[in-house]
Amino acid sequence: MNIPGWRSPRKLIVFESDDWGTVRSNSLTALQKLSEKGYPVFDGAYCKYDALECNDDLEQLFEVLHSVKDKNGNPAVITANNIVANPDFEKIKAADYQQYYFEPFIDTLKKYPAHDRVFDLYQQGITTGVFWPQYHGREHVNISRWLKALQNKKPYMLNAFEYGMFSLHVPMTPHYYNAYMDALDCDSEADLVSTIKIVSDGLAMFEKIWGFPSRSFIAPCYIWHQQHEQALSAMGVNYIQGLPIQHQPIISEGTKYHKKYHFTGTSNFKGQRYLVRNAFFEPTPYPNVDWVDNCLYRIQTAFRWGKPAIVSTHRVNFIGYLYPENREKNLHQFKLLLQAIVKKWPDVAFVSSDELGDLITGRECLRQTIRQ
Amino acid sequence: MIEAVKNELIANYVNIRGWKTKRKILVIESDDWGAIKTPSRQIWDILLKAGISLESNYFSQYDCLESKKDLEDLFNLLNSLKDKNGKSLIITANALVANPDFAAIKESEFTTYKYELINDTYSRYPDGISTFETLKQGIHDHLVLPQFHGREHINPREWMKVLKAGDRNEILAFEHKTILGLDNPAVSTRYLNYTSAFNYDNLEEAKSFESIIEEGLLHFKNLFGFASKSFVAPCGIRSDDLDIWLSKNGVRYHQVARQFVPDGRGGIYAKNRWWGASNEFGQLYWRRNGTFEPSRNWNFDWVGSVLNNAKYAFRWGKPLVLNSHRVNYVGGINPQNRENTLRLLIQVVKKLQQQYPDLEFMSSSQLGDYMADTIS
Repeated sequence: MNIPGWRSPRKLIVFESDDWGTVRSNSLTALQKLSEKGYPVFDGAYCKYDALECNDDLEQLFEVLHSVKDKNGNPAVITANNIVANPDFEKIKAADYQQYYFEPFIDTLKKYPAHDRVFDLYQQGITTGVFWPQYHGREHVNISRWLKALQNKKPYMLNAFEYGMFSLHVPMTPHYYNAYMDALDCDSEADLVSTIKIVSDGLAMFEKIWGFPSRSFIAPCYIWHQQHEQALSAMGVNYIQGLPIQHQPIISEGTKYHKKYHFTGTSNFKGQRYLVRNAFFEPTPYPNVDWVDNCLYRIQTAFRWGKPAIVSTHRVNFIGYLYPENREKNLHQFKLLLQAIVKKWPDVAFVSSDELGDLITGRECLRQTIRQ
Repeated sequence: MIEAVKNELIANYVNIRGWKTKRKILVIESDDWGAIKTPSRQIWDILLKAGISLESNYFSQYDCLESKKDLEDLFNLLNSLKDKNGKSLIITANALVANPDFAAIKESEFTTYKYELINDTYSRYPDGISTFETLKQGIHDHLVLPQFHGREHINPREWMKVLKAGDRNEILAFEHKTILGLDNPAVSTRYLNYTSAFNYDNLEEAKSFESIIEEGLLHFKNLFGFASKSFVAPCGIRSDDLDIWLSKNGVRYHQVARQFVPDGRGGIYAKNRWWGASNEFGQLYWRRNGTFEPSRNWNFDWVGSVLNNAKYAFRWGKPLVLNSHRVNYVGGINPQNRENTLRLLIQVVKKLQQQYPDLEFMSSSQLGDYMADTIS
């Protein structure tokens, strides 16, 4: 996957981290209660460890990002792909699950107990150059399927709902691998139309929340349609993050997809450039891998072909809200990785996803402008 | 003629719907391991002479606790049969983890039910604990995989009721540490009497299964050193109420999608699920679509019958899952019983391999994992 596509002699590294802002598991109490109801919630890494980021999560991650400097004297930066809203569980319940309501994620933060400084910390992270939000979607739930499940009184969905959750561990829905997380998957033309509106509304919310537009986008569960790209392009999204394979919903067939293949720097019919992940640091979902070694090897391979290294590392790896040891163990590994990177490649530059896109297309870099 | 057409339709019907695979997979599911039945030939003779109709079905005729020799002969055979990946044939031994503690129950004058774990049962038998050691070696060598079949193969309440009632045959059997399990309307009106561990006729009894499942799965883990991923109830009789307790304790798969559900009055009704169906807890179901029970009838063409089962299973993209109880593999009452089965097992597997060279051997747990990975 490193051979075709855009090349540069510069050693560029991007850390792309999805899911920031979305709710996942609500609390240890919620997991305990759901476990007592028979749901194997502790068996899945995302269900057990992932939660809305708390004050400590950001503070400790920033500290690690600041611990290294690239050739320009900049710290490592995480492109925090942001879900800008969450379901408003109370209102949805009051409407007997017939109507969907949502709230900006900054309102959700107020409902959580260790999250009062999260938004301020984000601002601090942007100013000091360690954190950079980009757009991941309005919410991380497939609204149409989720509401249908609630209306049909599916017990496990109602039980999760009671604890402010919309997805449990994947094996509970063996016939639905993405377990309601695939926000842009479509079962009908009507779904396509409504998800286009949702994804556009969310992008506008992003700018309202952060004060700047997102020039890149990453779809929940790597599932999106060409028409989503078109709508986002009209609103200024120039870059599409992702894996080498895009899953484009085959409308009306539900969870069936056309596979589309992309390489970094190639562009679509709207001239949007694809940014393709070619390295990974995912210790929580896959604990039996030496991630420092694995990631260094993949970065080296990327550099050998004159490619930027785009490292995928989901939020779950840095979350200690439920289990502090998850965050601590992985931050230790992540720090080792960063140190090894600057030692091995002293001429490395840490950039954000949209910054990489700007370098490819020769546009002015928004992140640097805002920091100044 | 009509019967033949009907059988043909049924054979297709149970295989058509649900999850599919292109792989040709053979799973042998064998229930009852670890459970006592009749302890020895001597005792069997005594009970028969006393007028108990032990020849009325193949379980009371041949079934007994597996011995070291039973296991060794079986493992040697399994080890000699390799699939296209070089893996040995493996039997999924659905095991009970306990048996009644006859001495303690007698001491309580039939007021309190107590059980002993199977390692203690093995120790009481002629080969001693070495039978259990042999079983563990077989697990280590991937020739056998125990899965959870229940705590014991009786319903303790119903069995104690029968003993307290003082039925002559049941008391005689008890004195000889035997579980008769013969249908006798005078002692139990339930379907398959007290051997259906999870049948019930009142809600309190239904609730008592929670601790039986929890204790059973805990003992399973302690005895074998791993948790059971799949489950099949004694006699296939269970209500869906068990699912929550099974799920809480790590069970992800149900072996028998053809379920006999207690009607709450001691009877049952059948409930069918398809290959790959799942329930509230995401537990997956599959079906047994073949039968290999040579002990049932020594003169029946089991080889031809299993090949026929395979034809339908593989035609519709389903693994071949054989129902093959422990009774077929034991020689404690009659050594010929075991020898007959092993002779036929070699023939069956070799014929299957001739016809389907890419046949693969799997345990139930592996089948479940494979289904979970490929289902959508």
